[in-house]
Amino acid sequence: MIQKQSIRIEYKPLSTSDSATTLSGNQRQTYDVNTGYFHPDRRLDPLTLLVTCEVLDPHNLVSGVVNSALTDVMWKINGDVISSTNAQFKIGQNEEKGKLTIYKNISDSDDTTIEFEAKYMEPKSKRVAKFQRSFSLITVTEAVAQAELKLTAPIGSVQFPFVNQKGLVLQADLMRSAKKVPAAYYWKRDGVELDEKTDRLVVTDASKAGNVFQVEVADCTEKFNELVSEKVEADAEVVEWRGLLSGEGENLIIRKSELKNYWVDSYGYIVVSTGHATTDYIEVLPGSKYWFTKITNTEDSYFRWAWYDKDKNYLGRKPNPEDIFSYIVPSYVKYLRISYPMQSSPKFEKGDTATNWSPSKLDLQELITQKTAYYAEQTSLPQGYRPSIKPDTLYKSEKLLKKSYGDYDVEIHYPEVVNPDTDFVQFEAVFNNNKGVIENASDFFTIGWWKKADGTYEYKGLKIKVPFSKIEAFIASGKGVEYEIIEL
Amino acid sequence: MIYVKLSIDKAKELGLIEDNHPYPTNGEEVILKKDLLTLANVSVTEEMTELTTAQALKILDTWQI
Repeated sequence: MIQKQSIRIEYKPLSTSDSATTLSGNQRQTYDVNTGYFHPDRRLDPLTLLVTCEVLDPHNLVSGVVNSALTDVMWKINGDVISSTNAQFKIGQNEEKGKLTIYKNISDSDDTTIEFEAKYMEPKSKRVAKFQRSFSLITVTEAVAQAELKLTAPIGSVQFPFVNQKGLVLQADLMRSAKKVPAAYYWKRDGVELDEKTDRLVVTDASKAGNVFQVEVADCTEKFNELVSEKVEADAEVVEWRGLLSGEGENLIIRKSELKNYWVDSYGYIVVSTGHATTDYIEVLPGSKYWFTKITNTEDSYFRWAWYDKDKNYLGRKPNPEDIFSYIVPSYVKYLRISYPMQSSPKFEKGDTATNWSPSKLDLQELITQKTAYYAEQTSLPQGYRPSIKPDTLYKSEKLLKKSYGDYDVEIHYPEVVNPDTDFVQFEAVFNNNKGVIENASDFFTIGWWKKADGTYEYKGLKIKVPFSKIEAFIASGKGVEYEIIEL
Repeated sequence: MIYVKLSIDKAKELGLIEDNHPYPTNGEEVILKKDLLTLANVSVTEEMTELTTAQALKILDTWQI
């Protein structure tokens, strides 16, 4: 008789790991309330997220990345499922499952979370693994202060030629938050464009009635930033770091966010220790090979690292004095924190071989930020710079400048009695103000003598010689000494 | 922010984008933020047009993406 007993195969569950990568764009945006623009604007610079899903099978039926075999892939925004027809999103299909491209700008009033859910079923045993990830999209509102144009006349708006023969000055300053904005200047006099292209206009010939001087100013901050950026990109250190970043393996140690003067002690605690620095949590891929390398000449040149599970619970630590060694991440480890001598060039990278030291992307960004601040102080627009096309948005202001001679009087000197034998009679005008005789009066005045019916004068000048015959004719027609002061 | 408009072929030739890039395009040209060129050590040439955000969005409207 055949005996029949049941037998069953018991599979251990699949273990999963996932990692998130930003392929383009940024999870963080700023919104400029003055211009109404987002930076970056996701319609132009979309955010692309990729969740890489991996499984580890204790029975080795499957292992590695399973994105293309994912099922029930679902992306949500603030709990609402994102439809595949929503034009503001593009959900990756087939080989690109796990990828989401976001073209939507997020208002700062929204607290936005993007969630990813998917399943993977191992075909033979039908074991199912689930994946979940969430991302926060942050928008910060920036109220970049409006620029304000200040047009001043530091010497005054009235030129008194006797005391000021150099003229008046108009100074245009486009200011933002007490700082002068790089700008282009367009000057006009009574509506007629002038050649001056700088922020300063010297006026030597304002009229007595006055002239209206206008200035239009274009904010050229973008051009200025471009010039700064060119200098930053040509900086030897930036060029070197960029070359290292693109040519060598990615350094996962971010010096920018390191905890200075701390190390991983023998119990795994992060404690104060002068001369050492400790990273933040570095996410690692279980089962993968990593390399520690460093260049140092300090006495204590150990790498010390602690490892943690997916909930960042401490599991263990280890020191190693070597300058280069590899490390296979155990299956239960998800994060590391690494300490090293501050005066060293440490590197922690994923891969089969160790590569030369290179900066992390964030450290290169930090270097660029520092260099940008430095070069911004050293840079200015070319003297008289103007954009090739005059911008539509211009800041405008105007001022009336005029010339004034103040109070003065004139004395006419001539002989009251004339000898008939005289050929010529001399007339001279002498100008005075409250400081006495006005020197070089002919620079400022002339005299028109004996006005004619057609509006012209018999003679013009401060000092004239009139023939005796003319004097006789003036007397015969009942005229005395007639003159008019003409201000130049 | 400065953007740059250039032909898709040129952008690929310079290694700025791949076939499955996410950037706005009309099928012949593509708009990229200038930072991408900077990161790739590529200078703006006559074959490219620099655009402000406003100009880039205006072109995007005409492309009706």
